[in-house]
Amino acid sequence: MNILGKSILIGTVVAIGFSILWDLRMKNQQQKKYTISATIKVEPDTSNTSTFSFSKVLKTLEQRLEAANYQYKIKRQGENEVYVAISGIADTISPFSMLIANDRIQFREVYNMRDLIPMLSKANEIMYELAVPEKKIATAVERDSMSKLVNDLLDSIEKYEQTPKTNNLLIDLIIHTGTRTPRLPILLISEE
Amino acid sequence: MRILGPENISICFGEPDKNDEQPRVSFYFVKTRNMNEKSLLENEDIENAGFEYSSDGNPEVSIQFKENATRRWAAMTRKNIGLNIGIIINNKIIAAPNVSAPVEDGKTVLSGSYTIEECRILSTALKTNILNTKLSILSSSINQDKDNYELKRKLLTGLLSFVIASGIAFFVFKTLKST
Repeated sequence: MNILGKSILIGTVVAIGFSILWDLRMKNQQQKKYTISATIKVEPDTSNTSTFSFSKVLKTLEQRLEAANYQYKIKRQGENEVYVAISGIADTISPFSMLIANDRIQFREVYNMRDLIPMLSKANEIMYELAVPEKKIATAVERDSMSKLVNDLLDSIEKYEQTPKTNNLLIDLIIHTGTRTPRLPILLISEE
Repeated sequence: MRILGPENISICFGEPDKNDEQPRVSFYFVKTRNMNEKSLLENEDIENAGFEYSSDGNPEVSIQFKENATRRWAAMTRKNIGLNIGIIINNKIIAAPNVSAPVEDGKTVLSGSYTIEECRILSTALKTNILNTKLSILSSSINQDKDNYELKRKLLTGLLSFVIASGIAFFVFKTLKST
């Protein structure tokens, strides 16, 4: 093989090597781009009272495509359909969501809890009665036993005061309490 | 069961917190009889919308109101200092910020647990008119683009490397032969 042939062979080998390396580099670096197209059906919203206009819908869709900076084609197709094609995009899902999105935003005053206290208290009362009647009985019983305890305590104080006293506080207490619970004397001692 | 409440009241639900282990839905009592009634500020009052990142790196939707809506927004925030204003999207409350000072410049930021893509879709939908129609996709297709520019670059690189490598090889062989 002469010099020219050898040089061409080496050049070809190097060029092939470069092409393979280029492909590998691009595969890692570049995102694939897609063209998506869709046929969108347009139906008037019966719950909305405003007048339906197909050209307004088309204009809004165009505005959306412009706002998102897409390369697009849009045209009316048939009676109530729109054909849209978007090219050069990596994300193939969100453009459709964006096109058919019908997000309505509202800014409204909300009630403060303080404004609703009467209403919520009433609701709470009703819910309480519906949900926990047993609890109510239990509370009544607890209240009864507490009032009995208080009455006993008052009786005991009265009796202690009526009992003739010696000079010795300890003897007075023993005479007064007898076999009864020592609760009252202990309470009185601590108070003295 | 009958409970008497204010005349104009509606319940508006929020989105469940995605970070909550047991997702619970919050709800608010909104000052309106019917959520379909027009509110003080809506889509058509928006001059521009876009998305940006908060100081903690979360994407947010920023809104700029039109001039006449800016005045209404300022009046609304002035009236509700210390109270909450509900920001509702598609009848779901996304935030109910407490108003600490009136917003006079018409700039508002909607922060929620949005992804970048959700922010992009929402901001694009908000800057255009709301559609009083039902849109549904009948059919769709996806095709990969053929990148002609990429192919040209690849061919040019191959050709250049061939010429350079052949030239160098030719020069080297020629030099070796002459010596």
